[in-house]
Amino acid sequence: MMSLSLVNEEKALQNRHQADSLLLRIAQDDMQALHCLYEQVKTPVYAFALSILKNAHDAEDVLHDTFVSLYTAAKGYRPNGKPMAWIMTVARNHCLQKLRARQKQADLPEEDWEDLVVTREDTGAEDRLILQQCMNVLSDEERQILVLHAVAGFKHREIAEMLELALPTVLSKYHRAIKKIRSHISWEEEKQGAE
Amino acid sequence: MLNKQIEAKVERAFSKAVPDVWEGVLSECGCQQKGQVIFMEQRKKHKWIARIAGVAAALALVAVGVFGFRTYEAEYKVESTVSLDVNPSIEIRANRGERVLKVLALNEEGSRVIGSMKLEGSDLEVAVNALIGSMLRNGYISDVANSILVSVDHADPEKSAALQAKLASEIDALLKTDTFSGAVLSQSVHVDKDLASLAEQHGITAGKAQLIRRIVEQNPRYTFEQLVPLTVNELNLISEAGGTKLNEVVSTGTASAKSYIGEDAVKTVVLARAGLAESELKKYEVEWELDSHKHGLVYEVEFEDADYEYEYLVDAADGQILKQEKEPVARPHPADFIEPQAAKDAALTHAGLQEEEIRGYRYELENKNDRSVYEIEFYSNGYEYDYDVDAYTAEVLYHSKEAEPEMEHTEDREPVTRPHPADFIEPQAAKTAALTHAGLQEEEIRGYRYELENKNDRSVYEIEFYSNGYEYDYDVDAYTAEVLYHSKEAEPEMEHTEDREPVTRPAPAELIGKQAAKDAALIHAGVKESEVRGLQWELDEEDGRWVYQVEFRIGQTEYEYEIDAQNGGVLTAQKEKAD
Repeated sequence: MMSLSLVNEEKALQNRHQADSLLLRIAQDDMQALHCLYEQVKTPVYAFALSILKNAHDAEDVLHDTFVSLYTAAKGYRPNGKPMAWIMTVARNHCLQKLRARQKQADLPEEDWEDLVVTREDTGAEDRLILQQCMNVLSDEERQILVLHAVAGFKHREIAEMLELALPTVLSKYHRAIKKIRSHISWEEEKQGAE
Repeated sequence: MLNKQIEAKVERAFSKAVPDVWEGVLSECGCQQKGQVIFMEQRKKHKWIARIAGVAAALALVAVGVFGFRTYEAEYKVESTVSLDVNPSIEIRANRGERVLKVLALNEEGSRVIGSMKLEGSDLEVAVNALIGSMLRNGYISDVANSILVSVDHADPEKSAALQAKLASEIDALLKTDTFSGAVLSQSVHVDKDLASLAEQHGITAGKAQLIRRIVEQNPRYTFEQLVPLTVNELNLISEAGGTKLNEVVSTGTASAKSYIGEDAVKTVVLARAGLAESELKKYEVEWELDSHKHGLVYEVEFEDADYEYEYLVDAADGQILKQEKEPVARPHPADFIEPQAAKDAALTHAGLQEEEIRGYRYELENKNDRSVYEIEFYSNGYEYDYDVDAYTAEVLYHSKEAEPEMEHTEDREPVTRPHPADFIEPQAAKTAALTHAGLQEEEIRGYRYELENKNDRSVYEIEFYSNGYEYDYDVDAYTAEVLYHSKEAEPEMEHTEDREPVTRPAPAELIGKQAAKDAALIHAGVKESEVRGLQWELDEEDGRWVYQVEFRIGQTEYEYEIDAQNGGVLTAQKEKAD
């Protein structure tokens, strides 16, 4: 287990280095680098946006806007070994913008994300189940913390910084999130087993 | 279920839900590239950043005050210098924590690679990564020129080596693209005064200067100045062509020669110019050469037909013939030559020896100072004889007779030269001991030889033989037949007793034929065909040379010969008593 976590850490470090250098290349109008970065971080960006907005259309807009912003803003980016934090900050700003716009309109249904997810062919039953759990069972903060840790690979300490929460708060919310998902998965599994 | 497993499930579920917006991103960014700018709501963020930056600056001042010079040193002192040379040359200076302090372009291409990237403050690996990316994008590294030199200068040789290995493997991985793989040369460099001034004088990095110095050390035909204008790929090519590994330079991959016309095309070009067909060639050699006028790589081609010797220099990039020379070869028609046997007779007569007194006979037809001679070599009674016999007149032009060098003995000549005290076991008993130990039968082995040796005051039979692709070595106690040592190794490549220059493979029509090969072996053994049993022969190719393997038995003795299929020379001869 020890060695596995070391390997993961090494990998995370490599990814950061890679993202840093991709951003430097993007600053040179290198579209290939942008595509590479897009492929690498589209999932955490989208998951984070979805976890904040709980609306698939809005999350998709944010995904798009985030990469356009990264392209424009890369010239001002100074590599600091924390490219993901920067990318997520950009994504979060777009989300907040969306939320503000939504407050003005106040007419968008919050839980339409399921329609989109369900219609995707390659999404399996378990994937759908887990998404449902994340979106419906977890609190907003629990969901964001879980996504930032499990999907974007941030450390709890980093998440605490990003969300401006105390580290113990992040840890306890993360464990509660995991617990909730686990109990629902086993419950669903038992239910299926009983059928 | 473990937390990690749940995390993995969550990640997978979200990854399945991500929509594809790349096309939209691309089209929007593509528009911006053409000059349209979209509105970004970032002002607020900037204010926030400025505030933080103010606080950070204040904190930084306090920090410098508290931690003082040590912190300053750790942060701003150049601890390592890494240079990248392709043809763009770039120098990166980093601090103790491998943060980049400065990136310098050492030539125009170098500044093009750096462009507007701000690499200062980034991690060293990140900077290298970005620079390699830019070199690829700008086409400085490609399938036609895939070599890069990484040089690390760090006061601590251990750290230097570690950094060198880390960067080299990182760059190697980056250069494994879909269409080609890179060739990475890496080295640690200690920049002394000499090297620094050499580098400065020629406007190259100390790393490239060091590499050139190393190439010149091993290929003295080049001068430092000649190599300065070459790209790293060209340097890599000529050092590879030299065939020797450069000292203290780690090399992975192979330099690309794709921007050159290639050896096949060169052959076509020179043969067309010479008006020759491939079948007329007697000899053909091509190698990389540096043209001092053009400062570029050329192919040096040397070939011969029946009458002439040609030397061409061909521009490696465009196939243009830069130089051509043609000289007649002093090689008269073989029909005029005396027979090999006549030359042998002349040498034997001169030495006062009979055919049956000699062994290890071999000869070669050579051209020496425009004169065709048979070079003859044989052994007799502990002497080595060398003769040059004129191939027309059978006149002995040169002869020498020297005490035979200390040699390992094959069985056929052992008994006379070695003491064999009565209380030693017979050689055959030692052989049997070794074979029993190896679990082999006499007929399964070949190349058997032994020597009686004194090892640590112990008399041993040193035994060597081959079987099924393995080489066996044994030390057998000469009194007790006890096996004292044994080893079994994969058989090495066969070595030939004659010169080892690659021989152009002759067409079968040029070979002497089975009958002549058989005759050569029988003559060497001093027997007639009617006296032998189990005569068999086989044409083999070994190391580009055609060889007849001839075997036969006389009584209990087995003979095994290798006969040069071109000139009938006896290459190896072995004689063994069968059980």
